[in-house]
This record gives sequence, structure tokens and C-alpha cells, in this order.
Amino acid sequence: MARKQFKVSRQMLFTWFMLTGFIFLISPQSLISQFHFAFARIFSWPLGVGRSISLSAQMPQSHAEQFKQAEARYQNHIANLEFELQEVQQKLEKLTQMRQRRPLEGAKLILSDIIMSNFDGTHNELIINRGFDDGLAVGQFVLGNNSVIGIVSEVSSRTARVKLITDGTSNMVVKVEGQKLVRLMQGVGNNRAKIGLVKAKINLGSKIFTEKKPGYLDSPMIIGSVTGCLKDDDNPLLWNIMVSPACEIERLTDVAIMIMNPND
Amino acid sequence: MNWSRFSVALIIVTLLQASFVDAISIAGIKPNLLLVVLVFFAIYANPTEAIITSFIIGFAADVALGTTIGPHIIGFGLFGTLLSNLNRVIAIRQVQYQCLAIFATGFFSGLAVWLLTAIRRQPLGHNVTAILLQMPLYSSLVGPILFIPYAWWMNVNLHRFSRQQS
Repeated sequence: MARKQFKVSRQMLFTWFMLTGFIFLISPQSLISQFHFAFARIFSWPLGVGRSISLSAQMPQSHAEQFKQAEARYQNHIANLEFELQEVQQKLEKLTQMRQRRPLEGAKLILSDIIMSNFDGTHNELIINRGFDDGLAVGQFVLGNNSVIGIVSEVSSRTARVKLITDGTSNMVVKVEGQKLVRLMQGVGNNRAKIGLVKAKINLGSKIFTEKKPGYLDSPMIIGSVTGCLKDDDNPLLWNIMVSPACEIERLTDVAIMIMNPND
Repeated sequence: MNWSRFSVALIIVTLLQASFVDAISIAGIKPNLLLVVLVFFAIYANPTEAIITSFIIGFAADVALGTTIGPHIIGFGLFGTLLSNLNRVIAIRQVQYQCLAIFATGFFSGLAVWLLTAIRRQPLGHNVTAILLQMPLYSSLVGPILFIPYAWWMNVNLHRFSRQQS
């Protein structure tokens, strides 16, 4: 028996595909993310290899650069310890009789490889090979070279999306070194973030720390340093502080996710 | 059209676009390899195949490049189909016309992607200048060179001078 050929006109084919496109467009983001995560999970190996080749081709790493990265990692660690010490001393002055719990005492760090990265324009994110099977959840802090580089923004079973501090939609409460000033830092893309409308100029190189967030981060950690102070266009009496991350995020091959009190 | 060869080529190009293309970026400007594939099939495939490939390449672009799915499907599908229809009237065989076709398709599909992404209120990967001008320009310069391996893989004769039959 001859098989009847199913024929669809080009106009109908075009209409169906356009309709499919619009259905995808109005679908909830949680569903859409599953496609991105599935792609990252299925092709994690070739994507990882491609990224490594791309990184090595872009900027061949010399010994001096490796030392520089290691130095930045230790400097960040020292800065974190100094800030912790300062905080503890302040608390001790106030509560000398009370037992102080060490910062990050209950924290668990989970190491993860970067599968995909995106540093284009204001869209700065990573896709990593750990998910809620490993204990990840939205809102957890992500560290690179002992500094905060972003926050987990979406999680699937074995992959997660990390919104970097430089992403255009990133907002983080931060504190400037040596000041009690607590401000909101917003990502502006191109590997930079901004603290807007500050009354006084801040010295270049001053360190910026994340403010602690109960359940996610028990102690402030270094996030970046001041690389520029610009007068606000609308209000020249106020300053916009430009912040660069404390490590070269583009060069990272793995990150650590901080899970506070994992046994709770 | 050999659809299994098309699938293999598309997966390889999508993976290259998602991970490797940074290695050939110039001053942060990257080519869009999927745009080049889109124009290749719009020119060398028959109109029905061109429509199907345009939408499938759009889906791959959304998965590899975007934060959402839909803008590239619509943008690539619409302008890939238009280019295929244009190719039935004017045969796009000379290298300079192919460069122009890649640039124009990149510009208009980029505009569509930008508008649709803005409607979804999602962050856009690149700034507007990069999407509308820099990326299509870079793609148009490397596109005709990349047509050679695609044509070899798909068994297409690049020098066959004829308009597409409907």
C-alpha cells in the first residue's frame, strides 16, 4: 500500500514555527531555564573544553600572572580575616560576657566547575555543574579566589546559574572598608559595579565588603575594590563609586558555593 | 537535504558559539557563527528547508546565546525566510552580496531579538551597537570563508549559479 505523503504548505509551516516562537516567548522563565540547563548539562564536557581553549588562546598565562592571581587570592583572604577581626573586636567591646561564634564556623564550601560563562555587555553570568542535588539554593553566595563574585540565581538538579556582581540586574548590600557606610552596589556590566550617590569621595583602592546576610553569609567578605569616583551627572554634590571585582572572574575555572549551616 | 548532517553541523556550531568563539573575538567583538549558518541555508537550501532550518537555528541560538527562548526563533525564522524568498528573485552567489546578506540579516534579526528580549524584560547579552553593527559586521567578514566547510559537509556546490526553484 502506497504511503500517503503528508504535505504542508510553506505558509502554514512558517505560521506554525512563528507560533512556536511566540509560545516560547511567553513561557515562564523557570521552564525556559530548563532548556539552558539541559544544554549545559548534556554538553558540559565539550563546553568546558571549549572554554579552556578559549581562555588559553585569549590570554596565555605566564608564571608572573599565575603568581599575581595567587597573590590576589591571599590578599583577599587577608582582607577577609582583617575585617572579621575588626568585627569581632567591635562585638567583644560590646558583649564581653557573651560567647562569640566564629564567622563562617558553620559554613560548607562546595567546589564547582564552570561550564559556561557570559561576560557580554551587562549580562554577566556563569553556569556551574552543581545543583540542588548538591545542596545549592537560590541566594547562596558564590566565591572565587576567596572573594564574593556572585549569587546563585537559578538551580536545577545538577546545574545552577550564577548571577555575577557585575551583572546589570545584580544588587548587593556592601560596606566600604573603614567606614560604617552601608550601600547598595549595582552591577553595570563590563566587569564593573557601581555604588551610587555617596556623599564623600572614597579613596581609590579602598576595599569593598559584602554585608552579612543571615542564613547565607555570617560574616562580611571582600567583594572588590574602588577603581573610580565620578561626580553624579544629576547631582554634582554626590559621587558614584566604581568597583572592580577582587579577582579576575573571567579567568576562573572553578568557584566555591557557600552553604551556611548545612546540617540544619 | 541530509538532515542528519545538518544536525551534526548545527550542534558543532552551537557548541563553538557557546564556548570557543571568545578565542577569536577582536576587542570584545565576536562573530555570530549561527548567523552565518542561517544565511548559508537560506541561500543554498530550497525554500521549505530554509524555513525549517531558520527556525531550528534560531532555537539553537536562543539556547546557546540568550537568557530566554523565543527572540532568536522569531528573528532568525522571519529574516531567514525573507532572505530565502529574496534569493528566489536575486541569486546571492557573489561573495560581496553574501557579505551584505549576512550583515543585513544580522542587523534586522538583531533588531527583532533586541525588541523581543526587551519585551520579556530580560537582560540582553550585548549592548545594542554590538548586536546591530559589530557582530553582524564581523560575521559578514568571516561568513563567506565559513561557507566553504559548510558546503563541503552538506555536499553543496558553492559555484552553482542559479536561483532557487520554488
